[in-house]
Amino acid sequence: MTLTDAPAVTPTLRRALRRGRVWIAIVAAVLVLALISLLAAGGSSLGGAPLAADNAAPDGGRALAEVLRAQGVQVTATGTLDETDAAAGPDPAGTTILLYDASWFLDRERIDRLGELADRIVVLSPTADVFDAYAPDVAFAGFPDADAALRADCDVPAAVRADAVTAGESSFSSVGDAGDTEFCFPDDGGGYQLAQAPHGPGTVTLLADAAPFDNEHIIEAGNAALALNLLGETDQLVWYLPSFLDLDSAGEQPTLADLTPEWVTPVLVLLIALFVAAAVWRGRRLGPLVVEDLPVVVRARETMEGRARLYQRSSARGRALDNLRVGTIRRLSGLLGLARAATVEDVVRAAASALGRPADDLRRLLLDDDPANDAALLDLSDALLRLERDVRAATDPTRPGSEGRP
Amino acid sequence: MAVTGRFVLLVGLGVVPVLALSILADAGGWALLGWLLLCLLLGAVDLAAAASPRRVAIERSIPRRIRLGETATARLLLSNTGIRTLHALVRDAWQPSAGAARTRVRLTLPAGERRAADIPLTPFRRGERRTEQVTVRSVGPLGLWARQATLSAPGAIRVLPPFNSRRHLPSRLARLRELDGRTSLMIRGQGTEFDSLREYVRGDDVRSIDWRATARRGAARPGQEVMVRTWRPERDRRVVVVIDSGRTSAARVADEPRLDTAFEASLLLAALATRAGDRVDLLAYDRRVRARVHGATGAELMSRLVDAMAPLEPDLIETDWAAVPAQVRALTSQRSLVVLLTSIDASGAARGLLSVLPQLTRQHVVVVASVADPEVVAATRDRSDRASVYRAAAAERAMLDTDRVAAAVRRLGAEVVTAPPADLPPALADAYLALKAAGRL
Repeated sequence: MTLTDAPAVTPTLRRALRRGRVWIAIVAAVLVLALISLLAAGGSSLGGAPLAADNAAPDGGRALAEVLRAQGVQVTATGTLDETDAAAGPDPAGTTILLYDASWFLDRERIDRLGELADRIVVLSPTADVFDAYAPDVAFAGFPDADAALRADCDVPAAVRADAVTAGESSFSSVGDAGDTEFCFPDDGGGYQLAQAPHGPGTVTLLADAAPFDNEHIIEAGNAALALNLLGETDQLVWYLPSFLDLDSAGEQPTLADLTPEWVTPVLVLLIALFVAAAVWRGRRLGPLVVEDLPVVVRARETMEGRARLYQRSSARGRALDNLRVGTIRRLSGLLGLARAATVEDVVRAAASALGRPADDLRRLLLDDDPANDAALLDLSDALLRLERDVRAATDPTRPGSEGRP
Repeated sequence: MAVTGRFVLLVGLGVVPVLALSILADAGGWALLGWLLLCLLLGAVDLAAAASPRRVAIERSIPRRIRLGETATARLLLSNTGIRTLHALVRDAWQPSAGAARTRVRLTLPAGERRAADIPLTPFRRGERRTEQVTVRSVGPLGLWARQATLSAPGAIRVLPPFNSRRHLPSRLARLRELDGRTSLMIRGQGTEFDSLREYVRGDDVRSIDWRATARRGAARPGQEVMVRTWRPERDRRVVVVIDSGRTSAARVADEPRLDTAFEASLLLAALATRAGDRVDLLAYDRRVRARVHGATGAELMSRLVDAMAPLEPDLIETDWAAVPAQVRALTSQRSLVVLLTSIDASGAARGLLSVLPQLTRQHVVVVASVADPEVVAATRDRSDRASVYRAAAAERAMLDTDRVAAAVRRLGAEVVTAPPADLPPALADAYLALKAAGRL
């Protein structure tokens, strides 16, 4: 006898792949498209810090950085003062530092250290410490009062060459003795966009706001010319955006990773792997679920229960009591040996004579009493039960003495 | 594909090298990576070495029929047609109501050999209990990873009604024999068909003495022997059992559907009637014929009856009583005993039944058998609180409705048998015996 294999219901791997090929193709297409669009975007992300040299978003600084690179300037983006130190090189004269400390990370000490790294420093949207360190006679003057691009109107060469720039969202004013500080691009309210103070052999140039240099505004008016003149003067440009690593506390307080022993992370990962393996072990079903039609469960007494609830909800005491009375009367007429067609009056008379009780009592109980509330209904129903029990006892032929009753 | 507990254990054991290497050599990450790769590699090797779960031939040996409540053994025969030894965990996917004691069996099947797996079945529902598929999980030699496939291998077992009421059969048969003249004591009035003449024995009814026969016999041989006539009940009468399989038969009384109680009652009646020499036909009907047994006798009748009843489930539709007389006429044209197994709860629902009863009673003796709910009677007694008084009132009302319908049925010339589920089959058998004794068949 030759045995034939039982036909398999589970698809083979090949069949499963063939069946799911549409989905596989769709997923692959989506992945390829995502990859292509990523490459088309130049591998850089659109997001990032404002004015970062690799940020192509409207508030990024990539346009400026790329143009400077194209002009032969070596642009180095840094995130900490140490990196800046390393990137600046030994000769302060050959380096320009662009500082944009939007989050006020640098303290006074670090700003002073920064000043020693290069002769030419350009500070966008300076902090109070920067004013203190380099240009104590400059202060913020609030929102500029300007409708159009502002003329240079000063002797700073870069500003003169740029001729006009658009205003950012703040401006400078001079406080106290202006000294050697030069102010450029005045607006109608007496504010300035640019201030330049001498700094050793070089200069510190302060710009009230970073907006004119970002990707969105760099092409407006003379913004680009100003930026290129300010930043492109030396071969080396350090694009310094301070980060939280510049804070004093950074690196000094131990992190969670420092506090835990070295073996904890691998063991945790192993536990995760163990969990996944256990989930696959317990979760894999041994074949599909079995389908079975279940029988309908209809309890016969459901109609009765429903009717009882209806009586109760509508407080149909009269109707409920009538039902109880009819049941009692039917059983009584059977016990008393009356005909099926016996009237209530017959039953009342027969029961009264069997029990020796006044017929009026029984008539009230079996016919007339109207329960005013549920307590009365309970009393009447108990009385009906008692009556039935008494009649049963009185008519029971096996009990001695029951015959003798009148 | 599936993984085993052993594989999970193997992954978990990785804690030892990971801990050791992180503490000793500060290389916990590499140890982790290496261990996981080792696990995956071992698993993959194991999977590649596992026998194919598809190269399995399946035969079944299942008893065709079983009574509800009994236990049968379903045998599953698996043959390995592949070339490797199959270490398998096999699941036979019986329906839950087939009551399989175990559905998972561990087997080791050498190549080309056959093994049996016995699965005891104790079904707890009537009808056709099935299994469609067998799932084979083939574990590799290392016991880490497994291949799994579900194979189609249909099988079924027919679960027959339990016929619990057969315990009432011996006592009813004894009474039948009393009627039948097989006992020496003859009681006049039990049966109307002339059976034979025999000599008088002490205790016989003097009214059954046949003087004419005594005189003939006395002429041949002088003596005092007096001849008596013996009677026996009629034989070869027809009994038609009509089971209502409509929506009212789905209701459960004492956790048994009315339909199942009707089966019990009709099986007892059929067993009794066929021994009494009557011919029994069965019809289960709601709006179409759901089951029909015609022209069988003796043991064949019983087996055909249970077979017809086994897969029958109540249909949630109203029974079409108007078509029942025609169905009965199709089964028999003689005067018969027609037993209607239905419910006579509410006057509204019983209207259809009441409207066709005259047609049936004109030609046949009709018995309407219905299951009474013992809980209703109990509910009339309980008046302990407000809710139970209202429930008692509703129960009284239900009993009143039943009584009204029963009275209407009696007025139309049919007998009524109502009893709780356990008592209905013997009560119906008693009604049959009473009719037979009264010679009304």
